[in-house]
Amino acid sequence: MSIVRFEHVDKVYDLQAGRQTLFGALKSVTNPSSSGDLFHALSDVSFAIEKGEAFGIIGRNGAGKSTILKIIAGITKPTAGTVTVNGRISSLIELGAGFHPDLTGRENIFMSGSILGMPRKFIENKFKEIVDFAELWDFIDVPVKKYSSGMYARLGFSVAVSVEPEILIIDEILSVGDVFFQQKCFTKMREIIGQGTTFIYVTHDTAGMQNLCDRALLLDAGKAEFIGATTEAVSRYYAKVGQKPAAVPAKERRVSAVSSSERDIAMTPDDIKQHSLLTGANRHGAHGVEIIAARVTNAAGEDARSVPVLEPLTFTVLLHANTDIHNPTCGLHLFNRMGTLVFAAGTKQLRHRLPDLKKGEELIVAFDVTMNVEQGEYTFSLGVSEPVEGQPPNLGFIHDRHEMLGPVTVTTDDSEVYPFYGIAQLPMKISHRLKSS
Amino acid sequence: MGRDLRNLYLHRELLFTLTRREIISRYKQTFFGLGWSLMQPILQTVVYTIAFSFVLKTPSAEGIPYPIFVFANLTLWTYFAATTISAMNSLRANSALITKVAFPREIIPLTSILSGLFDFVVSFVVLLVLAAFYGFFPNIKFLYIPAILIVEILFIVDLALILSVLNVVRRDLTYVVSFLMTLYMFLTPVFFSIGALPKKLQEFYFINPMGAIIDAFKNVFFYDYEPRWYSLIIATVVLVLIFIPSYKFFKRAEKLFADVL
Repeated sequence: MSIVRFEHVDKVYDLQAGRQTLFGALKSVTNPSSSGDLFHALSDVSFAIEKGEAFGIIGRNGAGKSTILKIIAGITKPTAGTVTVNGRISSLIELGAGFHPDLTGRENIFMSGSILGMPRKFIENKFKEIVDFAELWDFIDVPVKKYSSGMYARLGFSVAVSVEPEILIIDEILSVGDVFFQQKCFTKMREIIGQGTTFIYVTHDTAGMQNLCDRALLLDAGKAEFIGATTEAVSRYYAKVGQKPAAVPAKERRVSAVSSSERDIAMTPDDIKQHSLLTGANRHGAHGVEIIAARVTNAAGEDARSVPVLEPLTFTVLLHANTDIHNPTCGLHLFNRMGTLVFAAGTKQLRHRLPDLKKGEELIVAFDVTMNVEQGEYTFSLGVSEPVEGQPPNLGFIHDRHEMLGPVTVTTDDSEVYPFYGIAQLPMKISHRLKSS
Repeated sequence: MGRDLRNLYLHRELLFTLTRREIISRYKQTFFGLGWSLMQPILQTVVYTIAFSFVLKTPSAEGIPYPIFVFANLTLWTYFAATTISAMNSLRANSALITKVAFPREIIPLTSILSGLFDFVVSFVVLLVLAAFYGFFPNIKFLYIPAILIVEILFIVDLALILSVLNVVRRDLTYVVSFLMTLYMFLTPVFFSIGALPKKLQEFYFINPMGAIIDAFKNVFFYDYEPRWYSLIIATVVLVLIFIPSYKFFKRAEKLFADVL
């Protein structure tokens, strides 16, 4: 049985509403669609969402996405057609919709819990989990009007996912919060989908949608253009968006000609220590050899957290041996906004042998990475390991690992043609031949 | 209608939470806190006492010292007038909630009515203290006061259901209703005794619900009398009869709130 079913649904908004006389307005209350100035937000939309499905809704602004969500959530009624919804809904049409600015985070958790239909007792049991997830213990007794928009959104998301809904609706919300929280949200949403909750996701973030949803609905001007595999919905969506001609001609792409290896070697341990970005917050390992400092620099040798796509970043780490280390290996991991490992490699993968280290010795290792990855925020981790005798070659003994560093942002210039689409650029060659007739 | 009432009952916890929110947020971060809910009746009492006792030399009204007479009336009146207006504006004030979350919409005006009750209680306690000062002490008939209050609440509910919907459609209704409220205050009347009204208007006094309510309260509170039951019962029957179409009207209009707000 479908958990949400739309059959030939129309939604018409009366643009005159609020402008006519009191009598006319009352007439439109009792008999809608009597006036002439109408806007068809949805026309003849039919689809069904099955129980446990992760379903995306995609479309340009004004295509009718929010209207569909509001109808599913029961906030507004369709003008024509039938809608059936079987299940308790938690909707994030807007994060923290029920929050009151003067109340504290704690009071608002109970507040919005009961708006979402949860008894006080239930929220009491979930309270710790909610605050843990939102990472707001320090601010829980502060009025939420003092919160940053990120904190506000964290609390809102945390409450909405904790009420164990049968249908979870999420509307364009992950643009808020930093990349660490976004990764956490994606993990949480995957977990919720895994538990069999029906999940409805509305966003312009097509990458996130493809990552989470099996099927998607493409809306265009209130009509259902396509219902089916998310990948296809997304590519049809881009086909629509892409109909606009590019107004600005492509400029010559800047090419970095500087080779950075010599300069990196010239970097002193003190340089690295002074500019170190290590937080020490998410760290584990045996500490036989430690990463005591690390730096990220751009092609010009400056500290950088942001880099244009296709340009290099240099990750420089300073190792300090606490014991004698034989054949240490060192490398990095790069994670995207959704927590997906995009790329990981190090000395072992590149067959680069580092010198053995004596106790007390320090070693600088620099990784030049060309950021051929899609635009967005990335976190990274840095690690140093030692191979273990008799173990398969892809296993190592972790001496020190710093997780969740960054973020670094890869940027694109929207006035230029993008060099590629997708997660990463693969080596590709194009040839052609004109056949004259 | 039975189904709507049942659904409302299922959402009672939300009603109480929203009421709590309303009360807490009203008094949080204001310097006088609770004092504000007393400000209006106290100031009005002072003004009317000066006007009537000192300027017009009215020593008492219906045998009750003037300040306590007017404060008692104002306690009931302020709850009625202030709550009706705030319930009327409540749907607009909570449009963020209405356009984002689904729940029975009558909870919003009901929240105004319940949180107004908090101000009423505060004002009532002050009235008790003031009355004791003038030598009036609680008597067994005070047990009727909740019943009288329920009639008043029913009246506010009827008005709130209709006015809040109309106010969604037409915002300028607030001004009209504020004006009518002042007029109604003179007709009830609140700050002078019924005897001061023209004879013709006096006949309407006991079928006017607020008149019946204030009269019943006065009888119980100051004279240890039974309330005038017939006028109270007529008011109740009329208000219940008005409630049914008002509630139906509200539930019918409710579907459009999210689109219009």
